[in-house]
Amino acid sequence: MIYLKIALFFLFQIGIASVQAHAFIEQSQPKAGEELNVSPKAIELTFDRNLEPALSNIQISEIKSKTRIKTGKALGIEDEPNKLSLSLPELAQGKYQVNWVAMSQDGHQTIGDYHFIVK
Amino acid sequence: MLQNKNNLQKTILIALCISISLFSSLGWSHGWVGKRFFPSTLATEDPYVNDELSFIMGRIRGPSEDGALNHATNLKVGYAKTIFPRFALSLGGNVNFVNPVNQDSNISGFSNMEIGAKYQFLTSEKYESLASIGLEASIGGTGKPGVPEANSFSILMPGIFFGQGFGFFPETMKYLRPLALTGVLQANVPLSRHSIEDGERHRNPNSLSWGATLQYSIPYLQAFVKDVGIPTPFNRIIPVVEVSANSCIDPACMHTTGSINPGVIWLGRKFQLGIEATVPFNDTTGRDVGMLVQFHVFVDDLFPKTIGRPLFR
Repeated sequence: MIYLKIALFFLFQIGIASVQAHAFIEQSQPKAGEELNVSPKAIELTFDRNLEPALSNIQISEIKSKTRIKTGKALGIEDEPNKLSLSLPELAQGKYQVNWVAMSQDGHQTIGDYHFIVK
Repeated sequence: MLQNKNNLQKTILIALCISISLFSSLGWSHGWVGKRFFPSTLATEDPYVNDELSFIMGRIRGPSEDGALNHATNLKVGYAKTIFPRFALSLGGNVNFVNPVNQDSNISGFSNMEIGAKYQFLTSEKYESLASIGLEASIGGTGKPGVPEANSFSILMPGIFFGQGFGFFPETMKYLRPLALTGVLQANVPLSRHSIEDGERHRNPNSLSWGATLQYSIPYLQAFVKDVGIPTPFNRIIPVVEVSANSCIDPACMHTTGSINPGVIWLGRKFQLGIEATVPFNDTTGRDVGMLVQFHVFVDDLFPKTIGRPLFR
């Protein structure tokens, strides 16, 4: 039993340790590969870590014309430091590519991209 | 004998837990290249360089070198430390418990200590590619005599390792983009051509260790290809099939042993879990299915600003 207690004590240290790390995307709105009937008002990305919004960003471009859509900078969401949001103008029908860069609060950067369609 | 085995197992458990916690800041990391995440696989060496501390336990029933049938349990421990961002040194070893079938005797103890160096010479975020070269050495005489891989002679093991993601597949094949392939080819060159064991002169053969993994990343599928609605926790699994083999290439022993290992890796926020079946692919290897279990802590991410990063940047 003493050995089990020792094992649990040390393993508990892992559990309480800080969990900042590479930010792994957990959810996106619109979703990857989603087909929408209406233009989305914003892109919202949810990560499994808290982010540095100033060093993170989202860009969107229309694939067929290879035109980047003019937007502002992606912003963090108050009280939800693991989310990043980008307001969008009205999007015409087409296929769009979202490119994102996420900097977690410990300085690890992850990148990604995905498509969605406005029908 | 049984009391000695229990004491050894308890000692290992304590050492395991102490190592995980005290050395956790020196610990294990995972391989990102671009948007591709290469998990640490169980039987095949990783294609990247990183700070890492690994624990993998295996269990199998199979023939020993003399043909006797044994139950074998093995705990592999390895630690690697980046010196520069693309260069790391490593230290590792195995603890073995071997019980001959239908016998009361058992053999337990450490195999020879292994040291190594690895350099990651290729990293391409655009093409999701990694490649490294390395040199490991098994230090003869550092293990307990009679334990598997506790030879009296040293072995040099130069090798090459690669990883390739398939994110470049066209739109018509987009559901294949979450696939990734890793591989290893390593030579095993004994520094002594002959050795004396149990009073007999043995020839120490050259051999090749080779292997590959094929992975399908559910996180990659959901995040970058199409969110098909796989719920938590299944949205963080990576099904994998590994092939791990050793081919004796000496004229005296031209045979290959190895296994095909289907399994799954699950990516937690703080750790990675892996489990695989080890299926022998020929009778020389054995006929029983074994198991590998991995517990892998993401500790370089836990302490990124201190000793979880290269000594020299």
